[in-house]
Amino acid sequence: MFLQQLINGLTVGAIYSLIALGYTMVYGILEFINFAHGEVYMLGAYLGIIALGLLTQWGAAGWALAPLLVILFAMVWAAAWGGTIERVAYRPLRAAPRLSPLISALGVSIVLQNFVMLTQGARDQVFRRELLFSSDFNACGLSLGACTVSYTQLLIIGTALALMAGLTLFVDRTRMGRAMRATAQDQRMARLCGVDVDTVIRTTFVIGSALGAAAGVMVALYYGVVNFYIGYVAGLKAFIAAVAGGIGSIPGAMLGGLLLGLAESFGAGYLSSQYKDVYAFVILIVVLLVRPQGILGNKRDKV
Amino acid sequence: MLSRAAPAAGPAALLSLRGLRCGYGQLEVLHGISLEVRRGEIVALLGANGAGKTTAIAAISGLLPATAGAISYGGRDITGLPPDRIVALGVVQVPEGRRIFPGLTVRENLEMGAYLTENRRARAAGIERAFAMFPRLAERRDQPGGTLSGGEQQMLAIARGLMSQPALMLLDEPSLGLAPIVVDAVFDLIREIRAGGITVVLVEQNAQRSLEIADRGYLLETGAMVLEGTGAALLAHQRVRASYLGA
Repeated sequence: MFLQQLINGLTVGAIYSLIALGYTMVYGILEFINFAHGEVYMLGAYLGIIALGLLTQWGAAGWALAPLLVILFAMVWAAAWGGTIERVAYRPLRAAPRLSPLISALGVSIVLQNFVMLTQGARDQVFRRELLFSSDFNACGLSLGACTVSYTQLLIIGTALALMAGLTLFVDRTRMGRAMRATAQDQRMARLCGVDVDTVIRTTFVIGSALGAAAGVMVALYYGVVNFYIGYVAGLKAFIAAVAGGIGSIPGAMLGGLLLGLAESFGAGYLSSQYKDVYAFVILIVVLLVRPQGILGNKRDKV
Repeated sequence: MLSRAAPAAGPAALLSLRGLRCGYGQLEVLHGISLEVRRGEIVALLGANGAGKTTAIAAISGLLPATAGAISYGGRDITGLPPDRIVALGVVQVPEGRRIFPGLTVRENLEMGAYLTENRRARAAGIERAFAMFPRLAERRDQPGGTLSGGEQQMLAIARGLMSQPALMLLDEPSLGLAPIVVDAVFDLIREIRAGGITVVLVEQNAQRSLEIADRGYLLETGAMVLEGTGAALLAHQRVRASYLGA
């Protein structure tokens, strides 16, 4: 039971972590909470369904690399959405009072929800994972004594870890990653070094949206069903994960997401599953009481 | 070694401001200032707090739009260009307060100075040159910039500025808040930078020291240029002596 909850928690937590990264990266650079980010995650789930549909039509859904293609399609397409949202809804407000982009983000959120509802329907959409994997894959997994780690869970945890490792390498080692950290620490000085801050901001939105979309595909794969309003609760929880981990900190978002997933899983398993959504807020309150800047938060060292 | 090929020859002035006006929102800080910097000079820009010195170099670096007037560099109009284009043209600013990226290592701070150098190997070679010039920074290469002392941070800020191999360096208050012995080192370094072929604009509170090493100087008061002359002439000038040299 314990091990099973641990695995379940890690799976959900990895997904929260991926979404939380989008919040924390944007905040690190702009000190702005992108409240539309949950909707990009929701878009990602739908894009996964669309990609699966396309592959099925071309008779390629059973191909070994099909899951990778589905996730890549969703990530690339959502990245384009993220870049466009930044350009249209946020950049014109860069010099405006701080409240304006927040309101704009709420607007984007409403637009995206309704766009998906109108184009994809208000009813649940099914992600037909049986098209992607054999029934063996869906039903089975590794047995570890009394608990089972399904292949789907392994796939989700593995992919999420790979994406997070890739992001860490990008931010730590590349020229653009360095520019992102520099911009987060001192935007004016970054500009004096020749950094085009607009490009850095766009890149941040693009990467955050791609990670959010990957999380969306994973959720579709995990639960098999999505609808147009999943972005709200998931976005809220991932935001909590980012704040608890220390908003602005990339490792903090990863840690916060995992922590949240574990708390939900153990809470549901040992206390009550009816209060599942409450645990996130309990964690947030406890963390903020003990350490207001978040677990790995630091006023100075953002991103 | 320090300088890139100077921009295409034109008039003798490398940098000139003509009737530059700018400010923040409704507040105009510079009321039409003019200034000229010739290739290879050290030009001191003096003035009290709030006179507009920092605003002037922010405008040159493209951080602040000019509301009137023009800035030209190497014979071309650079008014309104974004900061990254101005850095690319060879004008680098070492800002007041050093502005070291606190969470980036010394090495990464230097990497940022060469941000526009796309070639990785060229950046690495530049960093080795900087470490040879500043052995102290080499010792601390993997330390976060925020952990350096004030003097070390100033050295790092200047080294970072040199990484892009500029033709013109704008130095804003490089000696502010440093111990006297470090101040000496900074002024020696500025001479060395000029000897390496880089033109220098020096904004300083320390009028005495900066006029000693400057070829020419300007005195800015409440957003207007009130005096201009050689370093020696300004040092001897009654108005400068009374207001800035405490004589």
